[in-house]
Amino acid sequence: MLEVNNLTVEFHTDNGVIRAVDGVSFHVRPGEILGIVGESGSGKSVSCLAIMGLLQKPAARIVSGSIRFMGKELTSMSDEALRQIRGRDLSIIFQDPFTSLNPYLKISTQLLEVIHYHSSLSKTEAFARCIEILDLLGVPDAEVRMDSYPHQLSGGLKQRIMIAMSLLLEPKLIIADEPTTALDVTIQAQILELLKKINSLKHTSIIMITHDLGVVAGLCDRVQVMYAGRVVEAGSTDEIFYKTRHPYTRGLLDSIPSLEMKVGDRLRPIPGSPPDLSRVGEFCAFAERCTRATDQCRTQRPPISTENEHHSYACFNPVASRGVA
Amino acid sequence: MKSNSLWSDAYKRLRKNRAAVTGFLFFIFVLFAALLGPLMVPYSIEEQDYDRVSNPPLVLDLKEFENKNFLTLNPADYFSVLGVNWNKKHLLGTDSLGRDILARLLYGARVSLAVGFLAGLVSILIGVLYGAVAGYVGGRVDRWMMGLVDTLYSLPFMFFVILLMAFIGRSFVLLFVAIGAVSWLTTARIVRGQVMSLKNSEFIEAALVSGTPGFQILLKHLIPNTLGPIIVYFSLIVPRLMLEESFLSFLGLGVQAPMASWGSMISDGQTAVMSFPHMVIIPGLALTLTLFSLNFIGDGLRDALDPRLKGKQ
Amino acid sequence: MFRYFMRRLMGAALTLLVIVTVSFFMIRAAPGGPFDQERAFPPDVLAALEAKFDLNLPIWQQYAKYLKRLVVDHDLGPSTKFAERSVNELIGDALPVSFLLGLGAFLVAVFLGILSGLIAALNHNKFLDYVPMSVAMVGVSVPDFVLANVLILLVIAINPDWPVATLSEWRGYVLPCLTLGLVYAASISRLTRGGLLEILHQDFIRTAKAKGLPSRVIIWRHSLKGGLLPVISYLGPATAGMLTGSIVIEKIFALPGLGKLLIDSATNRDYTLSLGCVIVFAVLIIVLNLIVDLVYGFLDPRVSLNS
Repeated sequence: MLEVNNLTVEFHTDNGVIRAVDGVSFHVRPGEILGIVGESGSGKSVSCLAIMGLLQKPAARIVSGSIRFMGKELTSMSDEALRQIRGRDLSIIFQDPFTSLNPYLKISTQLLEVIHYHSSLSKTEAFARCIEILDLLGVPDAEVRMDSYPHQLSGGLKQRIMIAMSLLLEPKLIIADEPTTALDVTIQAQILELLKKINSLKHTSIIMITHDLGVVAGLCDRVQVMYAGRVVEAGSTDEIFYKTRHPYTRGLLDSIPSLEMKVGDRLRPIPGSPPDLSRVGEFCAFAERCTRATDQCRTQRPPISTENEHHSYACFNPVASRGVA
Repeated sequence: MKSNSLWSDAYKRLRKNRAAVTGFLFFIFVLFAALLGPLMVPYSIEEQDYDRVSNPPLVLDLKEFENKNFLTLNPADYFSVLGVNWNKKHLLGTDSLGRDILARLLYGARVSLAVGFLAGLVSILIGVLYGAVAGYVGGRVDRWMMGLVDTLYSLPFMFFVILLMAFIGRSFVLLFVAIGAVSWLTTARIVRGQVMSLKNSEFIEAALVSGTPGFQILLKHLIPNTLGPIIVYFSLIVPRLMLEESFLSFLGLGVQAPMASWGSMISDGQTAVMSFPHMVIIPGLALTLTLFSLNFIGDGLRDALDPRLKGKQ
Repeated sequence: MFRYFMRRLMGAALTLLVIVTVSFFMIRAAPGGPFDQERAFPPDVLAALEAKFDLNLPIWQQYAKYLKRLVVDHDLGPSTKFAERSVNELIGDALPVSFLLGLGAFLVAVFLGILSGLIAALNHNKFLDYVPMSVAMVGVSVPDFVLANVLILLVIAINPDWPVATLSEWRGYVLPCLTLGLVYAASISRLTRGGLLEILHQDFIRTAKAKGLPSRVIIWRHSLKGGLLPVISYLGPATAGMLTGSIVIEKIFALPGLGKLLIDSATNRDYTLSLGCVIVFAVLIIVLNLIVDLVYGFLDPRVSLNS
């Protein structure tokens, strides 16, 4: 349903050109939940902003690649056509609910306008729809909340409002950009449950962007690991977790502290520092931090190898298949 | 480690700011003109040349207009195209009483700049002392002192100054003291804030431990360290105070004849502005350009010394 | 909301009291008395005058009487220079002129300022941004009495018949209102542009775009309210500035308004009239500031809904 092919996004800054997304391809099928994992700067958010057409022009540009959504090519669409798809068929939940809601407008205004500009429901019908979704999301006293301003609501509630905004018109695909990072762990669990519920009830596809592998394990059907703007490994959740192939993914999994560790055991971070995205070229982006790197890795860009139909990776020296330690 | 890194950093940033540099150069020019100018012009500011009243600086045909009293001429006459000549006797023309405008302009520069700076000093002096004491002593004293500042903030001081100048007297000293005394509030706030944050730093503790009396701490340690924002504020406030002086002089409540300031010159020329615009335009231009350059310097200093202050009024 | 308003009201009343007191004593502190300047009055006339103006009473009593008359009777007393005319009357004559001037200037400042700021913000870093902002930069630095003369000369050069200093027709108001308003229009313009640009970079604007809202909705509904808040709070000091500036403008254009009355009465040492003028000015500034505060409170829900 969503097909991204060879997407490349560049930012033009005072310090040079930064390639935030470098030849990324992935797809999302109807009803499935795809997790995109990576550290800050890996390009996960930028790819999704590109899909939505929300990149800040003129600094950011889609240099090449195609994005096909429901059969239509988004990169060549007019602004007006894109605007109509946004909010209606394709929506996004942002990371920080505190700054993503307009503090000067009531919640009802911010919810009703989505319906108003994309459909022809009457005011009462629209209002009823909002209440319906808010109830579905477990918002108590929905009508009172509608009449409030954002600063009167808690963080968890605000995020539910954001989710509600994205659900109002029954979109085919929801992009959730680290929706729980700014919230408490307990609220995090609730939000994730909600997303699961939406997916099973309405068959909505979800792209879950996160840096937390735990979230991925509990929620996603398929996972995609990104590093330095490139996809380094992708596949079903089981394959990625139990038959890890890419050293970076391996490093991520290893760095999670487990309950079985003893006092005094050291944590195992990935050595080195995040990549410099202004240096683009024909080499493996992870090579400088990889313990398995060879000269080939430093001089050639690893092609995508397919392990099986559920698993592909880009590495010259993949890790031997073994389970999670 | 360079000990003056804050200042050299700021200096570098200032140098890059072209507007500030231009402003600074212009200001130096004005300063020299004000200091040396009156000595170089052959006329005094009171000397009246009855034969050349209201002469404009640019005269179209000097031979025809020389030695004529302009009040008897039809203004339309000197717009006839006969060639342009600079007024040889009075470079910038004369005012309605025959006084040389260049001389008055240069003298006025002295007055306007002096009032601006002196008022600024008064303002800074009061503000620094008040703010430093409030910040250092802290506690209830501080709250009362700042409470007073807050209430004083909402008073329209210009009216008090008007009343003061009108009723109490029109002396030069009173002028800049009054102007300065009504604008110390923001300085006080800034200094208090700085002193409070510095109060708890280690070198102050060291000074206290070594037995330095409080007042000395104030003078030798706290105040020098708040110098940055004070300088910035001073440079921003001087043009505003100069403006207030011109405002008052324009209304007749500022400097009194025979002293001239740019504001009073504009006021003098106001009644005849439509026929002899030079009497208003020349001091007006001088005032505007000087204010501009001072504002640019102030903005530049602020950006250089504390970019965080950018955007605050 | 009510508590917010009451607090402001109390503060305003206190401020007014302080102004009246300071002004009263400042005037009284002047050397000599109100009748010194003129031709020497015969002693009995002098005594009668002093009695009429309570000058024979100890100063605290004068103050008290004045206050009472002010608050209870709303009477500012008789003029010390204009025989047979009360201060109330004189101010009453002058007020409509100043009111029209102020209103005109305010409209000029607000409309020109917000409009140009809006255009500049929406055309960020393009030609339509630089032009209004450069003009505004000039406008902020030029003193209003200089600007007035520049405008006068410009207008006369274009149309020598334009009425510059007369109120017999509405055109006479154009120049004074323009002059007074332009300086503040410049500041408002910069504030509008700044405020709007800041709002447009906020996350919630990105959310609005993500919801697929048309851009005019994003600008008008989402950005304007927040973007105009700094302008609203500026309107307080702006109106105070316009009132002060009107003094100069009225002098230049020879308008018989409150400002001119204040200066003339102060220069002539008309004790009661100048005091009265200052009080009326102060009341105007305070009331206008109060209104601005209220409007701000209405517009920013974070203020009105927090006690």
